[in-house]
Amino acid sequence: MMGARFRSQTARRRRPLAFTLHSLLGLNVSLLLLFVCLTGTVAVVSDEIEWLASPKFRASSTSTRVGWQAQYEAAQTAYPTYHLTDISAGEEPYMATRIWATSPAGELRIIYVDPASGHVNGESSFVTFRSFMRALHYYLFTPGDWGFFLVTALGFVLLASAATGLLVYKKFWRGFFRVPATGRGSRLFWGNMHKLFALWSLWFVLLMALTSIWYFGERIVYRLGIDLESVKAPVAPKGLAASDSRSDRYLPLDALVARATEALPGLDVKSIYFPATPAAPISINGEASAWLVRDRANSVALDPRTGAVLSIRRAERMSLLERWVHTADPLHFGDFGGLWSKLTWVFFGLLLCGLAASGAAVYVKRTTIALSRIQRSPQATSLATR
Amino acid sequence: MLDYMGRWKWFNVLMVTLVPLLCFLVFWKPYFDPASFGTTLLGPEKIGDWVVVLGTSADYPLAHGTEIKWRARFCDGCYEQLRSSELALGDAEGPLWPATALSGTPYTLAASLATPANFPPAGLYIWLTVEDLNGLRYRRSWFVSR
Repeated sequence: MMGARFRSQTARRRRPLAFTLHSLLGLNVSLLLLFVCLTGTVAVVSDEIEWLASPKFRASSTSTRVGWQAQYEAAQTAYPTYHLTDISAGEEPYMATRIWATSPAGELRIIYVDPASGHVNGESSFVTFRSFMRALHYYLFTPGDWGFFLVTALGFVLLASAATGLLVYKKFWRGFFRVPATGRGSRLFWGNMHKLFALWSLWFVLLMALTSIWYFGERIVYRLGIDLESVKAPVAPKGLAASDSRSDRYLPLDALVARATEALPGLDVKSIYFPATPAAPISINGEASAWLVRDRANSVALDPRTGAVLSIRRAERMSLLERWVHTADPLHFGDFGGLWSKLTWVFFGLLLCGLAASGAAVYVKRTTIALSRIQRSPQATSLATR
Repeated sequence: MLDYMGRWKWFNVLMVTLVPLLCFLVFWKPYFDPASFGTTLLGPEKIGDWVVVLGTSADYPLAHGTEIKWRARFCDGCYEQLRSSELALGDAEGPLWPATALSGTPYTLAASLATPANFPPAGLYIWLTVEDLNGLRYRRSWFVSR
């Protein structure tokens, strides 16, 4: 009789498989998940944090801009021994232009130029708050790929947690405006909070999960030697032989930018990659009419000495797969709409952190309550007195 | 406090503390520090119209069957006048093993080459081949190990 009652109680209390999976997935890596979510959230606004920290990261005005050539010359004059490799406009109009360079000692340096005045604000090593946060979030500073795969594999955990969570949460669509219960114990409160966070951040969880899984797969494909991006045409050997080889015989950057915008109308130049070798073209990249693509999706490759257009890459003309390659980053980083989209990503990033933390809190509370019940039960008392 | 993670507790704790900290100090930060050109320098020597120095930090005599990073530095403004530049190992007569292109900026040009399991009887030589913009190729070698 006692056995039957016990079995019926256990059956009633048996959790569905989805619930067990949800608990296992979330809890076993909850601290790592929280850490990755938190570092990712900070990384979204790492540029802005640098902007707040030091004037060298700032533009003195957002209404005026000097040309690319003037900024390039200012950097080269300030650091004549440096070899400049590429130049990127600040991520937002209020940020300084970054010019990447190597010093004669072979060290990677970044020169910051005020795009409004053309004055050099200063320089730094590659190791800045921004690069630190991004690398920490991206691959935990590990060499090789294993840190990257570990972090991006959390996308599978997020996706499975979202799917099992929805299966467990009956009629979840009614929960969007359910106020968390207060005064009925912290377990219930945190349980309600967990559900509320989960519902409101569901789209964000799915977005982060899918883009992370994409990065995971993309790296595998890349390691197999498959490049999903269309390759830029090199400068033709004939063109090289005919032209003056010295880099100071390159056409002025502003002239090259004008050629690029002529070839790709509507191009708003955001970065210029100087040729890595004499046979490589100069690459002028930026935003054009396509929405939700990273800057290098729209690109014009030019012979830097003659200005001849070698290839044009436009997001609209890409295959669906290549277009997605360039869309994953803006979706994951939230930088497609300026500061406001970044702040939205930060808000939902914090919700995601809250989700990981509240899930763990619920589990801890539930376990504590269950343990205290067992300790208070008559069976436990009789066992203890035997 | 973290006992709720059971046997996964230490995995989580290590992944968010020691692993990033150690990897930052041992791998990440040093990667961006000024690079040493090497303890062994070969050159400067003339190759074509240009002057070059090779360097490596590998211990001498060179070990068999190991990957060795070689760095190269051309005279100021010279690298821009080359269409390609590559390093290969061989004997006194010429390269015997596949060449690797030098890559990087003029200040960080480098290539990694695997030393063979058996060195040629007359000794191991490193060969630098450069090609100018007209397609003319120039070669230079240095004796590196017996």
